[in-house]
Amino acid sequence: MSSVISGSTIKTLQIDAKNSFEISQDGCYQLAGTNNKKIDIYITKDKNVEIVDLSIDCSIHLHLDSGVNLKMISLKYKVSNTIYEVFINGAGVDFNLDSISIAQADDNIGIYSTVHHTMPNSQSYQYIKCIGTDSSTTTFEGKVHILKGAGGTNAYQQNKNLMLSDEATILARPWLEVYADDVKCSHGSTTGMLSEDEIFYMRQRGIPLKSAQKLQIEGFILGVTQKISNESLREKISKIIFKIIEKL
Amino acid sequence: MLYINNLHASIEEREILKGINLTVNKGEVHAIMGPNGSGKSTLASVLAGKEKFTVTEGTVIFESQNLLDMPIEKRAHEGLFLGFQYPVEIPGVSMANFLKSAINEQRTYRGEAPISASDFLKKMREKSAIVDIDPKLISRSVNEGFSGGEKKRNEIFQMAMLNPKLSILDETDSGLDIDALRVVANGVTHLKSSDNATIVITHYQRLLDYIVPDFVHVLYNGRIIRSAGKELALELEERGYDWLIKECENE
Repeated sequence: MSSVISGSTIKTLQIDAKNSFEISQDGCYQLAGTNNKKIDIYITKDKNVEIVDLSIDCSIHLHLDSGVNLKMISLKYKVSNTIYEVFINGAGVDFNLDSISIAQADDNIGIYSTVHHTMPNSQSYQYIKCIGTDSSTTTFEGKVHILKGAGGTNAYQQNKNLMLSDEATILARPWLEVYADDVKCSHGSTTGMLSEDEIFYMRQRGIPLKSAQKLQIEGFILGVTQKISNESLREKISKIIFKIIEKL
Repeated sequence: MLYINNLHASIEEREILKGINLTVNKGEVHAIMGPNGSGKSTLASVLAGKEKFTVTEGTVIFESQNLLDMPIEKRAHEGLFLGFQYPVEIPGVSMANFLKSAINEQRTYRGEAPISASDFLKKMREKSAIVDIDPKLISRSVNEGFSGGEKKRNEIFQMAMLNPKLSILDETDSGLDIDALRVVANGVTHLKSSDNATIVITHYQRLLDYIVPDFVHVLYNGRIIRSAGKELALELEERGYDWLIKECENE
């Protein structure tokens, strides 16, 4: 495991014996690495934590009145499976996830997520976007698990996939397991190509086909990257993504 | 400016346009009316280059060039603008980014330098006033979450920004309340000059109270069955299309 801390807003960071982080104040983390070591993150009483994860497995444990904005960015890895598991172990927790993956050439990218709601009155919002190009394969499996006793939960999961090639494969498996009453849960998954209507609209205004396609792909991704609140990290990741789009 | 000669077009083997003839000169406003399914929107789409339609016969000359040979974006660069009946939402693409790209592509085509940031902002301010569009909308994604009326205003705003030679407005009045209709129509009238031309496609005479046409054409079953002055629109409002269709069938 390697970790890079970016931004100057982090004030306290504790690493326990299990190689975990405990964050007790505002912070922004970039956890980077290509090995498969798992990171455990514990958050208590803090709702302003942002984690930008460049595809490394993690478990996030959220306690009473805490919250986290997790950004998962999966790019340029030949074969990568990212597994993350979120445990909502307190009431009043906000979990927000925005994820983007771009699979190119013969990449095989997997994103496996589970969100466990174990305590009542918390919410989780997950937006997972995948782009498949060339002959790549992307697998997304997202489970929302609401245990008995987690009444008043509000869980939302949306998965949107964009196929940029006839040979690309995207497997999506959104899934809900609900054992509590009085919960609001929804999930949805759509997979499509670039919209011909949008392309026609842009070309009618004078934007050539290639540029129109790029604008549309950027638009698909921007929703995720723009939400990264750490400016330097946002710019860095946007730059990497624009470079990828340029080559598509 | 525009010469349409015996234009036939079909979609999935079904012929929609069955021999359209129409000449539009600079400075003119033409209204195309007609019942549902007569081919009005198809005509607009074919002129803009929508690929799902196949032109099977006929020619279209725009500014001395063969329009039907040009890709969609080149038609725009040459000055053809289509105001969409159903403006498309483009999530994630901001109005500003979209319009700046469009303007700069058109400028590049004409051999001009890209527009400066300050000129662009100035132009946005100036033109948004014409259709009274909320400046906040301009910072949003293209048409995303806009109301029906806002989308139509946005079409005319884009028309003002791009300053086309020929504007084809496809049922710009549909779904507009009377105040929005007036704003949109005034915008179109404001943009009218002796150098450009407008084709207004509409169901109702109502819009033509504000955008006064030089010619009114009735499209029925893929053909123009009657062309006359603006008084024809009033007659249609009063009597409907049936009498005209009967007259045409008797001939």
